[in-house]
Amino acid sequence: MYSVTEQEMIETETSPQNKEVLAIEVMGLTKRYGPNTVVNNLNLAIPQGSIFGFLGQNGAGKTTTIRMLLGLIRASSGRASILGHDTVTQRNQILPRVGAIVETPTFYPYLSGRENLKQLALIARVPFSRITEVLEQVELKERASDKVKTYSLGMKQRLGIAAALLNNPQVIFLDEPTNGLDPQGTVDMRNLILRLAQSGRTIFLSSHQLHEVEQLCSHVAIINRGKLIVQGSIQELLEGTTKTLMEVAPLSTAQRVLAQCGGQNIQETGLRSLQLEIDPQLVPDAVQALVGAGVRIYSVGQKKASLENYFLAVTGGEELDGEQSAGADTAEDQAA
Amino acid sequence: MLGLMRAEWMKVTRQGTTRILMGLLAGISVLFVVGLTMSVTATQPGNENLLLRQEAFSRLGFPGGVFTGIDIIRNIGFFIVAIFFSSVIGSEYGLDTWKNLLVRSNARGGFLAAKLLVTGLALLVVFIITVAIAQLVALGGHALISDTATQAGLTNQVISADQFFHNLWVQVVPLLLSYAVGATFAAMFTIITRSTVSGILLTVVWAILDTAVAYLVPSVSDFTLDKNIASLGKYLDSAASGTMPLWQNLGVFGAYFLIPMIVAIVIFRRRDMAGN
Repeated sequence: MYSVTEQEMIETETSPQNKEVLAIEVMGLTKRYGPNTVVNNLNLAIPQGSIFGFLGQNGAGKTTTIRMLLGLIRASSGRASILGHDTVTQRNQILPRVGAIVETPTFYPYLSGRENLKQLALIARVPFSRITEVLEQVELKERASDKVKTYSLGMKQRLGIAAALLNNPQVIFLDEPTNGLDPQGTVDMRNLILRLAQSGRTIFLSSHQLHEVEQLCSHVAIINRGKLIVQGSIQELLEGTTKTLMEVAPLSTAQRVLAQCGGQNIQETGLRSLQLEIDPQLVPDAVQALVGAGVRIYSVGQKKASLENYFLAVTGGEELDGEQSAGADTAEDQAA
Repeated sequence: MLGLMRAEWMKVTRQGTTRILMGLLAGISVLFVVGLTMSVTATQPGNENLLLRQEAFSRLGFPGGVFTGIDIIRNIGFFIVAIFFSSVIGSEYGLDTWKNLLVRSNARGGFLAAKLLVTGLALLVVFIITVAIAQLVALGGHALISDTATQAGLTNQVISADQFFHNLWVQVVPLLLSYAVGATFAAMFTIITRSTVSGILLTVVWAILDTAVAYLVPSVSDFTLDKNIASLGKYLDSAASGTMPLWQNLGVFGAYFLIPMIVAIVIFRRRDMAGN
């Protein structure tokens, strides 16, 4: 787990070894609209071939960041590079190697799916033969001749992915790709993203669906109100969040013994339940000591914090997507 | 650029606005020519003027029907230009599709130039079809009332090919020039406001203001598009000369055509794409 400082970013940037393997680098990227700073001095380092989850609540600045990276809007300050090319001055070299869905995919409703892709193929100078390939990839070939206005949201999302894949990109930006999808659509989309990642592409996945990100991503960054809170691999981030849970009686004796055995942050969570942090290697000795002290042990288990809990903890347990997440306090404790 | 233009052509020819406007112009053409035909044969009091009936009868023959079609376009063409150009550009904002296009190619100016060129070409085709429909319906009307008209003493007037092309040149060129300016204003207003409706309204308001100033404010009327195009039209007709120097007519047209286009391209290239 690490928070990225500007200094660290500069070190990352100047290291030739890292430069070769980073798909996206963002340095001090800032976007202001009048007095409002929507993205504030953002630094990101995204390894090539990773599925990178870009997490934040609605309005945290995720889409604005993607728009800046793609050149749809201009940064107020800072800079970014994709595959080693500056996103402002070398956009010509970047665009042929990048695919993107920005927010909800939008198409011309009076054209068919295939015709919409033809539009983009003509602009990106991609041969029409590629259209059939990507339609097959997203399993939309059967409906390709139907007008887009007849498509369901899930089909539009898949067509959006097809559009993003049209130029066979090395880096794919997916902005909330499962937004509004039904459970089956969400599963299909998740499988599709995994298939894309298997081909070695770097996937930048912006989302507030934490469960989805946890299942898909190897690395994540969390932003809150435009500021980077933390970034790293999910494994690193969740390391140290494992808690040991015990059902024991009496609690007072158990707490005293566990403290002597190296237990920390011991908390009562029920009439005969404890939660503590302890090195897993010390658990057998602790159990033996508890038995020796006359403590009755009903169960011993471990609990790892989910990314959702971690997210809520580092963003201050604020409402996620308009709903108060249950157990936010516990999550905060767990991730602390 | 060719790819951009092919993509634009596909959109313009398939979108509903084009078909609705084409249908509207075709419908108006038919109604107008039917009315013209009835005015030739009607003999009720007030329609005894043979000269007027002769003029109407001539407009039903060939190539008189061509000028009937041009008259229709002259009357409503500017509104069609404003609606067409604003909707073609504004729909990209409305559908939020700029974000799909602009992540494919870095040439923002190219997107706009291709759009303006292809839309202009498509509109020219729409106008030509309108004139063709007017001519065809006029010929039908002419055939229907030919006997009645002859009995009333009306004659088929014949003009030479030279005269036809001269008239066509004199009538069409000023029209196309003013429409070209209308198109760039529609593009500029639509891009500034990111809205089709605002683009249409502002273009129409600008055109009304230009005409009003031409007639009501003599001190600046020489710099209005309306007056300069009218003067240019007279230069095109070899029988007359313009009311102002030709260089001024061309200069004013150039300024009205280029300034909005440059403003539109500069704003489009430099401004953030909000996407909505």
